[in-house]
Amino acid sequence: MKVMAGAVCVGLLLSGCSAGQSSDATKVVYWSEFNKGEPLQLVIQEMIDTFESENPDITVEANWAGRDVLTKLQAAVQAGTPVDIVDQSNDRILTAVVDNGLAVKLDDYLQEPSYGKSSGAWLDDFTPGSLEAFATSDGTFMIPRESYISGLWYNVDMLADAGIEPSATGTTWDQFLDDLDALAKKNPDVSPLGADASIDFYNNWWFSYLAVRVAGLEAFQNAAHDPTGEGWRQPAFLQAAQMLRDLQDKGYFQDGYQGSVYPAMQSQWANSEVAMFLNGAWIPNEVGPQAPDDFHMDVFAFPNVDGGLGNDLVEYWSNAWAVLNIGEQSDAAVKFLQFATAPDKGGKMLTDAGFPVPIQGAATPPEFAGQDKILASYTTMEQRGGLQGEAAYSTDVYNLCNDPFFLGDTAPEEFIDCLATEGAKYWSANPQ
Amino acid sequence: MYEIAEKTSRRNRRKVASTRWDRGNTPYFVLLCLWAALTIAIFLWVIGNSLKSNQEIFGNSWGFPADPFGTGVENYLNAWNISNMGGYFLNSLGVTAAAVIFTVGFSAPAAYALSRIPFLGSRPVFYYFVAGMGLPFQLILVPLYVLFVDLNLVDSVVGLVVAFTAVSIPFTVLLLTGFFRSLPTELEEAAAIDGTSEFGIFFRIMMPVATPGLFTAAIFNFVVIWQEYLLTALLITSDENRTLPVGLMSMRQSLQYSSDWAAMFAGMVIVVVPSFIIFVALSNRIMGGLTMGTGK
Amino acid sequence: MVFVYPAVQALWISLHEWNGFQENMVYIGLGNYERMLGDATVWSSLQNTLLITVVGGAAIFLLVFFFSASLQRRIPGKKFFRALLFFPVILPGVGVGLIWQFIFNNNWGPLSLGLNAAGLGFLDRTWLSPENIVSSLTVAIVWTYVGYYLIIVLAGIEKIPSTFFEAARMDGASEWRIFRSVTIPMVWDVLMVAITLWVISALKIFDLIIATTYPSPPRGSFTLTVFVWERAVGMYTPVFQLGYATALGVVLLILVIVGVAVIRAVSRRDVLEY
Repeated sequence: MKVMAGAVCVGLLLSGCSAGQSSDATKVVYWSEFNKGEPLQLVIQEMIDTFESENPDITVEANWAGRDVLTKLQAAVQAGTPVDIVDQSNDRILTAVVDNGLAVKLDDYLQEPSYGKSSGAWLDDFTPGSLEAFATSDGTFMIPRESYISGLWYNVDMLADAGIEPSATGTTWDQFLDDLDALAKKNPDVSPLGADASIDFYNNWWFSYLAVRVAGLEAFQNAAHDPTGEGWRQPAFLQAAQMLRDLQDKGYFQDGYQGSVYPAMQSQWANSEVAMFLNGAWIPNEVGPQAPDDFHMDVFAFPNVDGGLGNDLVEYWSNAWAVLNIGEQSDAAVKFLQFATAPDKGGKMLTDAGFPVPIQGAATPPEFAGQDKILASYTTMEQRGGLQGEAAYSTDVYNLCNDPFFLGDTAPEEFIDCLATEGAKYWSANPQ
Repeated sequence: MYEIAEKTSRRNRRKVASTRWDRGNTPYFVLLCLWAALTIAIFLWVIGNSLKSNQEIFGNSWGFPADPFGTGVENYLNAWNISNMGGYFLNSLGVTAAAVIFTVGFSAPAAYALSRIPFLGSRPVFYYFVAGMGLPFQLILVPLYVLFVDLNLVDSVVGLVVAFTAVSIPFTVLLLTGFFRSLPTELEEAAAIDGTSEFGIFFRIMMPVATPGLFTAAIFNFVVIWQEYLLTALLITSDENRTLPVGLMSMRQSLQYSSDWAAMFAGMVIVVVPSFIIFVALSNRIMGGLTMGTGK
Repeated sequence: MVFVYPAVQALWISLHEWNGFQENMVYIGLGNYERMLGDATVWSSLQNTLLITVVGGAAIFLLVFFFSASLQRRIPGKKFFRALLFFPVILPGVGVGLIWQFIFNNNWGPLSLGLNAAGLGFLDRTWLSPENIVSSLTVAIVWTYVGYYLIIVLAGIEKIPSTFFEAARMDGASEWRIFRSVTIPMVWDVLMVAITLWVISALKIFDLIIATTYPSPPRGSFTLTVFVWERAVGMYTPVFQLGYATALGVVLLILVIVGVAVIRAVSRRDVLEY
């Protein structure tokens, strides 16, 4: 009898224990690139609250780690701290998470019905091509959230004053030069172009686009991956460098752009001291709040170059989510991401807050009409033709050579020479 | 003792100096005033901008704020609540207070021993503390991080207190060793003759005499720890555990999306004000603390 | 103890290649140190670090001498000036750095606006462009830290018995002569302590630089501390080279040791007893 009673007791204890565990909510740990109080943090917090109320068995524990979230993630990896979801821009997720084998492959999940549905597939919630844009050859590891292109942001009224009404997709380089000239003549106090030269990956924007336009995307990527570095010596790249130098020589960039610390130039733009600048489509949200109420902005694609091999290409990227294999709740994490990208749930919250998302049927916020137009007729490419996702090469070769060139300290020939020699040095130290 | 000597020498000099305005003083005085005006202008400008709207900052950075109370209150509320400066403030206060107490608590007996009790190897120990001061954090960033991961102290305020205490002890020991050396030995000798133990001497005789020095050391550490950035940025991963300096930098990051420059200025004022209050109340002690360890 | 173990381990890590995400480090011997020889950024950051230490140090101690001479004179508001000069020292470096970033802003910062308003527009520079940034940083650093060294030297001066000055004055010695022959020798020890402290902290200055140049200083203006940070945990685009970063940290430690040793060697001279 005693033995029996003991067994029952143990049984009860065990069941009690396991019952206790299953009634505990599943906890998804989410480390975010945002700080408390930022607009997107507020949207994501709203998503979490709604998701938790719809799924009482799951809690999402958010850690607002800030932009250096991936650095913090190193600690988690070393310590074995479970983290299920992380977000950052897709190039950084690629370098830190996907390339280190920390991301969960999502292809099977994408075949499942999307949030709250019993049929169909999650991948159908996304606009065509948007998932593929961020997939690697091994599969899909990232879920895009807000997605952006880059282009020339301009002060609509100022350009109209000078008789310029750019079309979102139709400008050529020659037309662009004429427009800059017209702007400079019409409004000598205003700089036709602006740049915040304190950020190296803003500085390399101009050369990257010009090089891709003239030489073509493939030649650009091949040059970067040429172990001898000699690929950079093709005439097309020198031509691209000279086209940029031409703009600088004509004085189109604002005075002192070399010392402009981000986002100083952007506020000059908002105050109508600069007419346009090359940047990403976060600009409406970034500059909008500080611009005067009667300020009108729009965007057109980087001009095409006559006879160029890489026309009609536009950069496209996103802030992306990845599910981490160091987490313990991949299924629940995916469920949250399905919620976050469902057109009538998270997708709607994002668009309501003014962010452009690659989700089927999502309303485009009015400021992003230009982005939609460009995406409709242009082919997308990764940032800087993919170099942005190769952090070490970008930093140690590409930006190392481009920064002094963009600032006017080196000549186009020296710049090309630098790319070739530093490239060769880099690849001999880091064989592919 | 130390302070009395200082005061006497000052009084002597005052007697010597002439009571009339010396013409040779003018260039010195003018330059001092210029420097002071520059410093004051910088802070007034920051405070002024914290009371303006974003458009005013960019359009009218020099003028008076148009609606200091309306926009000002809004900026400070934004910084305090939305950007969580309030939470960072409490963290800073708690972490700093705890670290200061532990630092002084550990350093005082060590410094006393170094200054009074001759033992083999007290010289190497002294140099060990000197070396601790010179060690650049950058060198130990990575291993410290790994060590704290192993100890499960990453992203915890407890971990921060441990780190700050460890960092602060070398300098504090040096500071207090100098201080204890300046104290007369007669009291202890008398107590020792009475048969009081070493510990008894330390706690019952020396501590009361040493209170001003310990207090100075505490304030000095407070000032240093209050402004620490690098270690905190390394060891803290989550928003709720940040201290003010790290929080301020994250606010600067947020400008990318929020563009709330006015709240940024308010945040800077929030970071500066506690230092200012402590300084106004205790400036002599703070300056005394800095020189206590370096004087002869 | 919390710092001895990591310091020793740092030497070990500096012999490896490691990105912090991998479980295992790859042993590469002195590879990281060899790499430094060919890395232009190492040399430019060494140069910048030394520039800040030497030029900034010269400026700080010249100002310290000037201010201490001023504050020895009989002028009103001495305590006020002393406190005001010292105040920036106790502010968080991050806050001071951000303030300076805004001061150096060419469009709405007070420096450029002030120069132009005063008709000195020709002096206006792009303060934070690569060729000016190290000088601008040095100005910010000098303004921030001068008070600290002033207070140390002042404390040394206050301990000089006033009879020394009286005697010198009675002999009809000039101010300059008194300064050179009485003040300097008498505060020599304290001065050397102050200079040593400056060298140690100048080599390690970090948060002020990071904040003034946020989001990222141009590569040519990195100091060694910033370079270590950039390699370890990244500025904007992380490269995660922890082994190399730690090796650079070792170089920084060597600099500190050499710096202190040089000062000790230079400062060794007969000390006046009083």
